[in-house]
Amino acid sequence: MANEKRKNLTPVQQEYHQFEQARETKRPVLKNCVRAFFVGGLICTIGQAISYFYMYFFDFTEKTVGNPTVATMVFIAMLLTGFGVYDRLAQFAGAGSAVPVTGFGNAVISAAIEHRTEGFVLGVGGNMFKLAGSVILFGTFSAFVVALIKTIAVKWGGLG
Amino acid sequence: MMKGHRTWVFENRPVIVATATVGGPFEANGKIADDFDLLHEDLWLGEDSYEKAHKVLFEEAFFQAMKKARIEKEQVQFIIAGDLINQMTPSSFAARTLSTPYLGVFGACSTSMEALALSAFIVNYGGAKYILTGAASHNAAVEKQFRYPTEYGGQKPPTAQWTVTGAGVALVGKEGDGPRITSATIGRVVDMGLTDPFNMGGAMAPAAVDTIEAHVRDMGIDPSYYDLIVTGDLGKIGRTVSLDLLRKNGMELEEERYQDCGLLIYREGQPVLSGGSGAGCSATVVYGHLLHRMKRGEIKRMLVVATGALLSPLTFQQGETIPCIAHAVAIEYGGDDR
Amino acid sequence: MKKWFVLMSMFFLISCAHEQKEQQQSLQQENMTNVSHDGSAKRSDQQQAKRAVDMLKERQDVKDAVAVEANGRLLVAYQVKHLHRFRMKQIEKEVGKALNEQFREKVIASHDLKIFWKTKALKEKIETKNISEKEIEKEMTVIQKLSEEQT
Repeated sequence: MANEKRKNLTPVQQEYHQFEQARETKRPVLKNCVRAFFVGGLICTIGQAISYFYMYFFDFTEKTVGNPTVATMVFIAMLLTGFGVYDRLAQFAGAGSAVPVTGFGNAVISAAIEHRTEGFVLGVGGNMFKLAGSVILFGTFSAFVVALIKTIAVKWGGLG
Repeated sequence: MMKGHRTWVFENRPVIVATATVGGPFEANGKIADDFDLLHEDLWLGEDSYEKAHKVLFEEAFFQAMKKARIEKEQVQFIIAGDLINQMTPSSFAARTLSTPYLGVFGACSTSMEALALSAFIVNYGGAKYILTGAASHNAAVEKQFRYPTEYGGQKPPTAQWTVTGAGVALVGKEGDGPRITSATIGRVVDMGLTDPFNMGGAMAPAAVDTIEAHVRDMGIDPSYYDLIVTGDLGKIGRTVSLDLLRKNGMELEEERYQDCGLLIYREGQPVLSGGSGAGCSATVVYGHLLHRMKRGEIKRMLVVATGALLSPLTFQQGETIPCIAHAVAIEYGGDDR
Repeated sequence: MKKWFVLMSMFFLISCAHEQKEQQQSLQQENMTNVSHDGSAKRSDQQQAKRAVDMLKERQDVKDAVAVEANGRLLVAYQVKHLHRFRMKQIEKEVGKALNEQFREKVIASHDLKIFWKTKALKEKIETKNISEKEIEKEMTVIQKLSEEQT
C-alpha cells in the first residue's frame, strides 16, 4: 500500500518522504505491545473475576455468564469514559484497552457524549454508532461469511 | 509595497496597539501561563457546548484587546479573524456580538498570520484606522471535528499534536506605540504528499521552509537579520525537519533563534506528544508571550511563520494528501524605530 | 521504561506467589473438611457415581470430577486441565461417549464450572446430611436444567 502510493509521488516528494521519515519519532512498538499485554490482561482478569462472581452468587453457568459479564464491563467502561479516565488509559495502553469489549463500549459512549450538545435525536441518536457502527457492520458481515464457508464445507466437503 | 515575488513591505509600519490572549485549563498549566490575559479553569467556559465556548474565547479576547487599548468597538473598522471549525462559526458569531464589519479568513493554523498580514496591508494603505485581528481554537471542538470524539480511547502516535484552547487577538492601528509590522510574505500551498493526519508537523515543515526562504530572498536580507524566527505549530518533529531542511538548502540558522510556538506553550511532561497545534497556538504565543518579550527588549526583530495544514476530515478519509501553507509576518520593536 | 519493566515483573511475580499459596491453603482446607476426596458420595446408592468419577480421573486431561446418582440418572461434572481446554469440544465428546457406553443410567455430563460447584455441593450434602433420594432427584433436576440452559 505504502509503496503503491509512493509511486504516484514526484521525485521531490519521495526525497522529502525519506528526509522526513528519518527525523520522525517512531511509534514505540515493543513498549506499546508490553503495555497492551499487561493492561489488556488486567482488563480480562477483571472480566474473569466478574464472571466468577456471577457464577458463584447467581445461577449462571460458564455458558450463560458471558452476557451479564459483558454488560457489566461495558457499564464500567461507560463510567470511566464519562469521568474522562478511559482516553488517558487508552493513550497508555493502546490496543490493550481497545480490543476488549470495554473499547467497544468506550467508542459508543464517547460518541454519545460528544454529540450530546446537538440534541438527542440527531446528535446522540445519529452519531452514537459513528465509530462502533463499522465494528457492528463488519462483525456481522464477517460472521456471515464464516458461517457461509462452514455451511459449504459441511455440505459438500463432508467436514465436521 | 510589493517586493520580490510575494512579499509586502509596509512603509507606514502599522502598529500592534494592543493584544489579548485567552487560554484554557491546559494552557494554564503550561510554560507561558503568565503571558495570558485570561485563563479558564473549565474547558466549557460555563457554556453548554464546546462550540459556544470557542466563540466566548474569541469574544473575550476581542473585548480584552479593546479594553487594553482603551478604545470603543465603534472605533474599530474591521475584524479579520478565523478559526478551524466548519464555516468558521466561532469567529463569525463573535463578530456578530461586536457587530463590527468582518472578514472571515481561513488558513487553518496559519490563520493568525494570514489575518495579521491582511490587516497590516489594509491599515498601511489607509483602508482602516483600527483592525482587530486574531485566531482561536478550542481543543475539544477541533478534535471533535478533525479526529475522534474527545473521550474516545484511541492511542495517538508520538507525532500527534495537542490542539491549543485559546484565542489571540491583536489590535492593529495606524499610529500608536507598540511593535510594528514591517513586512509580510504570503505562502504558497506546498504539498509533499504526506497523508498522515497525526503527523502535521512533518507535512507542514516544507511549507514553512518555502516561505522563510521566499521571505529572505524577496527582502534581500540574511536570516540573521531576525533575532528570532518562530514557526506556528510544527511541533518537535516539524521543527527538526524544517531546520534540517533549511540547513540542507544552505541557510544557516542557530538553534535558539529558530523556535516553534507549539513547543513554547506547554511544559515538559504535559501529555501533548509532539507539541501544541491549532489556530490558537501561534496566535496566543505570538500575541502573548513573544510580544511581551519584545516589549521587554529581549527580541527586537522577529519573523513569525505560521503554518497551516489545509486538510479537512473528508479529504484525508478520501485518501488525499495534506496540502500545507505558511505565512510570514515580520514584527519589529525598538531599535531603528522611526 | 526500565523501571516500569521491573515494577511490572515484580508485580507479576508477587501475584503469582500469592496465588500459589492460596491454592495450597484451599487444598488443605478441602482435605480437612471433605470426608472423602475421591469425588463421589460414599453411600451404598452412589456406587455408579464412584465408578464414573474413577473412570474420569484416569484421564490425563481431567483435573477433577464429581458425580451424583439418583434413580437411574447419573450427573457427572468434571474440570478440564488448563491447557487442555483448547480441545474442550473433543474431550466433551469423548467423555460423553465413554460414559454412555459404561453406564445404563441416563448420563448428564458437564464440564461447566458452575455445574461442578453445584454437583459438589450436592454430593457433600448427601454425605453429611443423609437426605432422601427424592430430594437428591429434585436437586439434580435443577442442575440438569441449568446445564441445558442456552445463551
